[in-house]
Amino acid sequence: MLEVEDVVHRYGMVTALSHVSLSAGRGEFLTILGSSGSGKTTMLRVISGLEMPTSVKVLRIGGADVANLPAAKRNCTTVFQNYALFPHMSVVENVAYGLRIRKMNAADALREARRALAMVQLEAKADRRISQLSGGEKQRVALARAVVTQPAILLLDEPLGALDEKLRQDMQIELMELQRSLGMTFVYITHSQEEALTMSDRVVLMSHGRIVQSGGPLDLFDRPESRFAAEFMGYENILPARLIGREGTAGIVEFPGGARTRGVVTVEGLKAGDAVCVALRAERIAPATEGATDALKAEVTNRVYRGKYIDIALATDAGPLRLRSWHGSHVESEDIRRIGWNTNDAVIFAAE
Amino acid sequence: MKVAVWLIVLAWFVLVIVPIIVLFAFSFFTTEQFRTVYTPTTTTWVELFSSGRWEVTLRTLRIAMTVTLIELAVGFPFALWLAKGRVGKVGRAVCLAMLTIPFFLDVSSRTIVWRAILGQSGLVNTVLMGLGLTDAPLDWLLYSEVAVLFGMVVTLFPPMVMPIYLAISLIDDTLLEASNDLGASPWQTLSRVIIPLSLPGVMAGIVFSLGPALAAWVEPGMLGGGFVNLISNSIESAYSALRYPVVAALSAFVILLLLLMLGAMYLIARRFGDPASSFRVLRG
Repeated sequence: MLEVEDVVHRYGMVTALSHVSLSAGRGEFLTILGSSGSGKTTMLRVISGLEMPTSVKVLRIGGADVANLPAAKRNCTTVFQNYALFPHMSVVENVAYGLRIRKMNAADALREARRALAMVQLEAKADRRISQLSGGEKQRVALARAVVTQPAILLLDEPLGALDEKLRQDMQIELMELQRSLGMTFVYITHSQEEALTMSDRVVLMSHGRIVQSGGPLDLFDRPESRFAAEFMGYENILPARLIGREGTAGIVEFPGGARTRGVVTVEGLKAGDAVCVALRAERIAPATEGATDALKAEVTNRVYRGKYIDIALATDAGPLRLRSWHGSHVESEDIRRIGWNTNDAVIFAAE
Repeated sequence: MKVAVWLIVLAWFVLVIVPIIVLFAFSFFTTEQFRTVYTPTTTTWVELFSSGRWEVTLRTLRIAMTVTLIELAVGFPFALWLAKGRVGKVGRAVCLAMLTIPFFLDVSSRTIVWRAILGQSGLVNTVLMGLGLTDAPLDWLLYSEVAVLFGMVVTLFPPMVMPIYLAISLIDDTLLEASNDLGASPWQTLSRVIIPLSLPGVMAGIVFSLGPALAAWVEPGMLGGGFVNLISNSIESAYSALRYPVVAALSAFVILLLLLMLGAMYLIARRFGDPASSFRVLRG
């Protein structure tokens, strides 16, 4: 449905996109994840045609070559971050805009527009002014306006960025349901790893105009392939170590202090003796019973109460670690002498 | 908040409405031997219409509307280019400065220069004859309706462009991108988004251009050379003859004409879009 190969885009001296390729299948929910300045919005604008890239090898939408087509001629529409609704038109006129542009007669266009508004539960406000809507309602109008022309691909530029927490979570579910019922390809831009993991079929993580890692939400969450990916996906503990042996994807590492542990190697080509990093999520670490294998000696240095959970700072043979304990568990008050984790939860990748 | 609104309304009433009412009232008096007779009568108004001032009125209307239409036809594209075109920051600043500088100079001194340029032995005719394009100097360049029109178009260009420029720059770029993204051609974006949203500026431009054009006095005097009499010239001659009721009636008549034309303009604007709703862009 969407094929992009080798996009390069420069603004003067700044390279916003450097040799990026990605694709999305029919009905796929693809998320481009990255912090601001990662090039994710530029990527979206290149796909929509609002930005003409410095160079691109292949740019196809629904099989049609669109590399030289203006935005108006491409079979995709954008949901803008600030909604970009026309203030001089009513809600239903906004939604009907794309249809009227395509010379559909007024009565049919308004009927289609009302149907699209019904899909986002806003038919009751069809005749309102845009200024009379709340942020969440504007978001829905923008969605209805973008899908009413039935584009092959819907591009969403941080559409939930301006909404509050509760509304955002509701809209995430609604967006997923809408995407499934329409069977439309969604390309979704966000800086929130939580949004990316909740909604997507596939996630592309970008940084400095390059793709850092891409894969299913679980792959990104549990198998980061670099320090950047691990940090972005919220790994609290990233420790330097040396790989001393590996067997398939299983690896054994030695920490500077001499302690050893096992984990999963996520990148090809690492061999014994290479400098690596071991990443561990704080909530996957637990106090170990006396005599457990692979357990590390630990000493509590600090406890921070954070409402739902408690963060416990530990000094261990592997270095300082953070352990997260859900509020109410026995770990909260007990002293911790040894800690351990599931081998699957320790991720090993090359140190930069 | 309410107090402020009432104060503004009061100030506006005292400063704008009261003089117009007084003016209007004066037009129902007459003068005898350079003295105003304070007895209400419609003589002045009847004389106004019977004394051949119709011709002057029609000419004034025609010239004012022609000037306004030319301003709009040239000013709107210019304002659009200045606000949304590929103009650099420096280019835009220079253009805005050039639009502002004429306000520092008096209209008369700006206009009188054209005499030297458009006259029989002026710059234009000298160049044309030097190039052999004409044998005799073009006499319609100065002291003609063309010259008056030209002078007024030049003078009233900034007042037309400025409000339109401001209205167009207020339009969020993403609205234009959204229109483009939804499949609209540049012309469709212009007619469905830019023009409706810039209507407040266009209306202001028309008011700022039509009003002064109806009351123009410098250009017809200096570039018309007495051949192009407009209402303002009638007002002036009535004023120097101390016939204040005639001055009042003529001025009131200009105001009425302006109101009529603005009303017509509003009706025309309604065909392009809801003028009331286009003001919403100002509120965001």
